[in-house]
Amino acid sequence: MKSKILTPIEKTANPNERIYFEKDLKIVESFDNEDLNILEKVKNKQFEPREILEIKLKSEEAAEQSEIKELISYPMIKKNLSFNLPHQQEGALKILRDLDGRALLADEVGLGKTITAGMVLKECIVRGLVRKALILTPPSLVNQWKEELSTKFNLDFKEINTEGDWESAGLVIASIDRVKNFNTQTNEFKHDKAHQIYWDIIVIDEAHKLKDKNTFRWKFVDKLQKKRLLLLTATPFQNNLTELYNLLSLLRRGHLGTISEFRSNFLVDGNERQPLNPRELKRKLSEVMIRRRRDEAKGVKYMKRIPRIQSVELSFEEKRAYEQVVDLLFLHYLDFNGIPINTVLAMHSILPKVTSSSRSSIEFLESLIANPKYHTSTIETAQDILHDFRLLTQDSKLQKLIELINEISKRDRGTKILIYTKHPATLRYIAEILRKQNFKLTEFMGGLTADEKSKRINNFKNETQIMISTETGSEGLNLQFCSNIINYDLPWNPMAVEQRIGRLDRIGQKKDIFVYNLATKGTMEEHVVDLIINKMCCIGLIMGELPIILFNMGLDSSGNTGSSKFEEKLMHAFLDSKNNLSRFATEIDKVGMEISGGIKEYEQTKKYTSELLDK
Amino acid sequence: MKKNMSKEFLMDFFKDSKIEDKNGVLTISEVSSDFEKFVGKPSPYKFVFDVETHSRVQDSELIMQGSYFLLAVRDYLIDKGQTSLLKSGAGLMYEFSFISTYQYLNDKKQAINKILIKNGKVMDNLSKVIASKGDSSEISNLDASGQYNIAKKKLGECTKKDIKSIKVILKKKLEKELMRVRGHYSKQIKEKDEEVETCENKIKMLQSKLRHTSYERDRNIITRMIRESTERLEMLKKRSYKERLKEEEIFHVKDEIEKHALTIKNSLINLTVYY
Repeated sequence: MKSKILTPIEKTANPNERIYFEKDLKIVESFDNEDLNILEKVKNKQFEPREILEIKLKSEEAAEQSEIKELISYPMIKKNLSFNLPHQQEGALKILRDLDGRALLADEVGLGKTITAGMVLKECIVRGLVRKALILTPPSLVNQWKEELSTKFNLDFKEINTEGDWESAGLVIASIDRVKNFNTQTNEFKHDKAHQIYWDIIVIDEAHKLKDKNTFRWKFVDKLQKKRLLLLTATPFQNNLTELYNLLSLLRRGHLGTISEFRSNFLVDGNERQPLNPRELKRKLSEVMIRRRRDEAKGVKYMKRIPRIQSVELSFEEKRAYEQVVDLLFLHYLDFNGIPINTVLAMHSILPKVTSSSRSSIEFLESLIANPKYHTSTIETAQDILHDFRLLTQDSKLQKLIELINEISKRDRGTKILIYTKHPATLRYIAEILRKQNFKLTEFMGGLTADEKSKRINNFKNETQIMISTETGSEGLNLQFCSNIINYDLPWNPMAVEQRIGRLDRIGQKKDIFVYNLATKGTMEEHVVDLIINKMCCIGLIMGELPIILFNMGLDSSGNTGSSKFEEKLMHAFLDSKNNLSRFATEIDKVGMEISGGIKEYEQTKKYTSELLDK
Repeated sequence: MKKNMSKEFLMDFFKDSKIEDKNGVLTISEVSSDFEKFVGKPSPYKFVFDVETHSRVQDSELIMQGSYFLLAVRDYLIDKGQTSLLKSGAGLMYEFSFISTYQYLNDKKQAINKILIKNGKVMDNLSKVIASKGDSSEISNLDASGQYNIAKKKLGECTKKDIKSIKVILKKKLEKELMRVRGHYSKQIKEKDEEVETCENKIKMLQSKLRHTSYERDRNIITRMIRESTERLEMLKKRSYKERLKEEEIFHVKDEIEKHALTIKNSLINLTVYY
């Protein structure tokens, strides 16, 4: 096939492959290496009946995938999706068929952008269009994405942690905050290897963070070589239309002209937010963007979250025991040589146990006493406290829980109740006491097999009124049939609380959701519960909005202790207060104000986006 | 392949198994364990051919063009039926069956071509060959590699037409995209050039103004303005914007070229020897 206009310019390692160009069009032509084996078979006189060829030819015809008219992968994933939401399939189809796989998916929060993106990925993989795929997400969403892709789409994405992980990259996922690091000394991105790979598809979640083209984040993404690019965000611009311009520059350079053209064509002088020619701008956007609102999507309805804080009044003895443990941590927590142990880490791992239940406090004290790495004075103090704990005859928190269960049952007979605790010891303790009170319950914790998990969920759905669960192992559960959640103890990470509530607050939930929270009076718990529940998780946001807000505020990534920055903020506030509750309350108020600011800003952004895109 | 054809194909493929065709559901049972193992699912298989029946029948497989199960059958057959021997009495001939897959953007097309070669020459008429099952003991010396190279060459001619029609689509799309990218960068360079020119003119104008001003306060203001404009000009030139923009342009042009590339994969799926 010789022609004057054919210019072979790329060498390839495969002798059966040749790459040539016709003007700008690249053509890669190859013959299968397997062909030679067939020749060898003939040489060795290995023959099969000719009829197989006929059926084989028919199978090729039957399996032929021509242009994308429907999602052939949908029947494979349908059983894994809780609901058939037509807008998700329509969106995936439009991205692949009409937008050539380069699109800004700007659906409102709650419509399942992750699922739509998953459908695009699955379809491309099944059709053999994608071998190398990269997903970039906020740090706190990496695991959620991995889990959804695995359980719903049967796709195994490997997480990128170190620079070496790129070498065997096929289907990979990474925190964008991790990979965008730029080394100013070498003048290179730490994860520059990502730029040497030609990606069949890249998906970027919460892409509104790519609004500023002067950031390393933007530059990192811009430098990636990609055939298809999906940007996911419900709020493609915040304060300034230039942000939208920057986002679209990643998708299709020059789609909105040069920045000067964009300014003169689409911006009102002196007002960066108001488009000069909204109709034309929307037309241009529709060429690269998909945007649907919740009220126009079939089958999507979210219920209200109703917060209820249940104050627990401790007895004098309980209060004293609690204070003794806090004092131990503040004043007597010494290693073998009498040197104070890092208080931040200690507080972080121990305090939640202490506030969870007397059982988990006892477990902590017992393990401390048995551990020779502590100073004798620490062990002796722990022994005294343990003695006091063992003398306790009442458990006010558990008593409150029982009252609460009865109250809920009275309001709505037989209604399902999900009780969450962070600690397995507390789970076992609650289960033991509730069983004694003749409550029928299911226990759910980490370490269960998939089979056992599904048995227990069915048990909760059909047999028992109550399920007690730890976070571990319960990720991804769909418990829409339950509308009451009790947080026996509360993680100090609002994302973890969102995950808990998210088991119930899903498409398909038919009732408003009651979020009950036990908070011990006179401890820091009551302030933390108030902040996380009343000011963050139950303020009318749709599932998925709080993570965006925390991501926008830079509070969702891990801090120095490995916990989220938000948790660390609270822990530092507690340490700084030196167990003085009014000081702690003031600190918590400050955090609350900061969060309110973030929420307000997000709401504004939503408003601006909606004004531009929906009206 | 239409619905009936898919159904006929499956009935043909599973002809040695038990087949039941009732109420729009084709149930296949007693399937060979070899196939069951390959697809990772034991029979019976309930095949349905429309979405409505699919939602009605539990555990059914929806069969449509290119669907998962049909892909699995194709993959199962990949290393089967690769070679055949037929007796025709018309001399030694090699029939190469190739499948060519064209992949571009998000689309795929495929073509099957059969090429008959006798004595190193391509034969046109296949239909006149009447043949029966061959016996390998009756033949010797079957080295088809030379014939294979001739067949590959001929295949190039056969696929020309398909490739040409795809190229027309791709070139049109690519041209449009490249025009956007190249236009964008040439405009950007022009804008920057203009900015430089404006800056230079401004400096010249200010310098002339300075020469004709004796009033101290005005001279200070003009001097400051010249300094600012000169700094701006130096910054524009220092960042060598043309090279930077050119580099960016090449990157995005390359991106579009890769995106619009046409990949042609040719595979020999059967070689039949006639003797």
